[in-house]
Amino acid sequence: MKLEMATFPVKNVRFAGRTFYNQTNLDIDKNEITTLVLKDKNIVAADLEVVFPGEEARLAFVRDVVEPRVKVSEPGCIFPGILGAVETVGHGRTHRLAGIAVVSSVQYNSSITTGTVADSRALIDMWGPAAEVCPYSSLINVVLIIKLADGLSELEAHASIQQAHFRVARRLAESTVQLETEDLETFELGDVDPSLPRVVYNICFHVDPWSPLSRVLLYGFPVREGLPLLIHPNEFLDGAVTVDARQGGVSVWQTWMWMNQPMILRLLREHGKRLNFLGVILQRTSFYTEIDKEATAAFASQVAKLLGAEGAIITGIPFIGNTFFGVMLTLKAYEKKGIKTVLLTPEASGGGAGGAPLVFCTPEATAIVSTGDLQRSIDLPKPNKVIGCDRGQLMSETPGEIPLDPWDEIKSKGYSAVEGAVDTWGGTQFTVKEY
Amino acid sequence: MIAKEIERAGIPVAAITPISLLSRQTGASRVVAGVKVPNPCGDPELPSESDRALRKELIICALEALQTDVKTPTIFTPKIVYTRG
Amino acid sequence: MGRARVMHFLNQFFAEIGGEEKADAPLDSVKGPVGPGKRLGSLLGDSAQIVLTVFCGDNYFASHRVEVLQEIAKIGREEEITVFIAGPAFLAGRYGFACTEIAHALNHSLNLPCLTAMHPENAGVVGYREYKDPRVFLLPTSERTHGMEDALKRMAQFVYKLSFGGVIGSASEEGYLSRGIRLTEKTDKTGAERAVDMLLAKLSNQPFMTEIPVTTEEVTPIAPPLREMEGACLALVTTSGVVARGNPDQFKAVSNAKWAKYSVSGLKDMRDGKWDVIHGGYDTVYMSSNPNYGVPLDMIRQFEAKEAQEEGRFARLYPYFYSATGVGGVSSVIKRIGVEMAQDIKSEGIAGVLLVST
Repeated sequence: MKLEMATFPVKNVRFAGRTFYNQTNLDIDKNEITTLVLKDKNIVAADLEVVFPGEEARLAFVRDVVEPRVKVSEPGCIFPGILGAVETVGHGRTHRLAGIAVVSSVQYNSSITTGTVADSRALIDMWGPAAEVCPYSSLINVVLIIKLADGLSELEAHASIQQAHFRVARRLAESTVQLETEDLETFELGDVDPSLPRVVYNICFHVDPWSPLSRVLLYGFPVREGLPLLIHPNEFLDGAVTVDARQGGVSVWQTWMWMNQPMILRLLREHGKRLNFLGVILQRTSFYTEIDKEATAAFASQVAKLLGAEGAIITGIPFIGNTFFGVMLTLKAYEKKGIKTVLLTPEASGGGAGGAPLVFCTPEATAIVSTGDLQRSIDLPKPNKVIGCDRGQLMSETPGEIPLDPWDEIKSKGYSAVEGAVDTWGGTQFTVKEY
Repeated sequence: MIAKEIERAGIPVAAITPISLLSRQTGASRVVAGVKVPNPCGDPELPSESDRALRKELIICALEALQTDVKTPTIFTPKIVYTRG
Repeated sequence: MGRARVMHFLNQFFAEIGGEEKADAPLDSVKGPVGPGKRLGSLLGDSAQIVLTVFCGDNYFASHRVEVLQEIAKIGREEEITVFIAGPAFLAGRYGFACTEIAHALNHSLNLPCLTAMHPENAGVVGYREYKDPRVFLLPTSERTHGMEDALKRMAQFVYKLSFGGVIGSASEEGYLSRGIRLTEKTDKTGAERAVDMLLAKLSNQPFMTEIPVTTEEVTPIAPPLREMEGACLALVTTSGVVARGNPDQFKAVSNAKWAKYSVSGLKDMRDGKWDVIHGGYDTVYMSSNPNYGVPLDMIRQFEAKEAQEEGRFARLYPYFYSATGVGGVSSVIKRIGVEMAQDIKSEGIAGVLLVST
């Protein structure tokens, strides 16, 4: 399976009469885009704005972030199972716009107001302390501002937001369909020197089993009660894995990050050089009983064993809590089968106050990479401009939580509201040192 | 960790939890194996009478644990059946 | 900046007064270096000068701790000391303890940077790790004095850095024992690159350094069992996030730092009351419709004395249940919540607790 990724960088964006890409300049026909979005009767208002890195601008009610991509060859389409038929993707040719993202900013009346299945909202600051920890602050962000009709179920809300968001992202990428570029990268798991170490990458994550929604969708299929699956790394590059479109914040992943998954990209680029990358094991670990966590740990490690893996990198969820036990039990199961592991995870050091960095640790976890304290305290300064939220309007990270004022400075609790600020997959250079 | 501090003050704690690993790590010494995270003291998939009977069984086990002398962290398993998965 | 003015602390043995028989020697001081301080002084060179040595017997310190600390602080102030050094204490436990206590005190009262040195298993290391003073450093040494020259050399190098007021790097970079202060910083490679490097090293049996050391568990205190169930008052505690309707104490769904107690007086079933569930770590749908899952009130009432036909009955249920939302918390905060809750439980005469966690 060979995928050719063609990159078209974007440095300038403006609204114009037609949607057109030419040599790092992207013109967007705002009318065309909003008309496209408003075709869905569940969406009652739509608008588009653009913000640039360094502007003292804040985006509020942020849900998901998506990179504009489009497939220009058969088989399959971008975001298969959502924007088109289900067809295994990850081969042929795909075009992407780099340096730009589509961000959804959505307001609606939530019908679930508590627990992990409630919708959640985040902020993106284009400057300042939050920009240092947010992966999207250095991108030109095209903000799709949507208001949904009243009385929608959470499932309908998700479907409408996701369809609109992905269509806009694809439409922007379509501006490159006829174009050529020299910026091409080929991704494949070709034959390698047999002496190279055989490595798998195990992604552990949390979903709620009985909710109609799922934080992780595979070809649009909600993972929910799913068992561990072996996935070709290229599939991620074509948007095979997406998320619950209503949820933004620190404890969920964004579609953009799944499409630009830093560990997968690193392993793909090392394949044939320093290692033999066997594939990605996607493992749901959030079963709510201990024995069921042991079960998924056994299943995932057995997939790796059958593949003949010698080593595994394991990453967990953005949030260290109950589901972290599943991550540790998975590590134990791998080690017990003789597969050597490295765990990459954020830690909970309480901002340097001391205390155990991990809620639970097993002695087999001898090799851990830390991506930083997930309880950092940062102050967000007052912005000049806020998108997605009127002056005087407040935003709660989840419905019913104590709201904050995006138009004001936000002291110390700011970190938990910043989109994608916790590094779960090793995309940043953050680490923790002990003093 | 809360259980540990209460025990440190000399008051025995029967910790009903679905994840016994957690309790060992955070200091409860009398651990009662509960049902599931969202419903540690019952099973909403069972009919109401069975759900209440399950909860009663957990409490019997917890009261028993409170009266048991333990030297190391100990897990008490109530006689219950609940929905897996 | 000028030469640093160093005060050096020794015990009776290293101050060359005597051995165990002089362990009660009172606090005293002399100008200039004494014993190993002489060698240390010459290693320090121009960067610093040992202007004063203070010393006392190991037992004297233990029994006169407060006065000794006050007196040393007074001397340090009078002599305008800018750096404090204690040791090396190797495995001498009482000496090591004194070193850490004095360093901690001087760091606070005089804002002095302090350096001490001892074997990692010296009892003095425990206080050092608990205090977490960012400007107090402890260098590891050998078990006995055969490592003296090496210890003094490393101490001199460290004092050089301290006296210039420079930034001291992480424990592994600079060679001192960690105080457990973990700080987030940027490094030269991404986490993904570091993970691949680490795995390849592990697979080829090359050395690597883990970024989170596996922590050892503290010994769990175990309370004696309940002997008098019949006369006992029991209480329910929960971390499932069940709170009074309206969340009057403003619990947060994640990283909560509060606890509270809510009345169940007169209620036979949680569903007879009005509750909210504030918890961001699990799907609260079942708990919200039936909070008995987190606060098993309906069935525990059946074991109260006036109701009970059952065995294992107790006198009464405390009329409140204790609640704290348990997810994403900093461990020091959770500990504080635990301590406060335990104090309240104890003062209310509660004899046993059922704690339900999710």
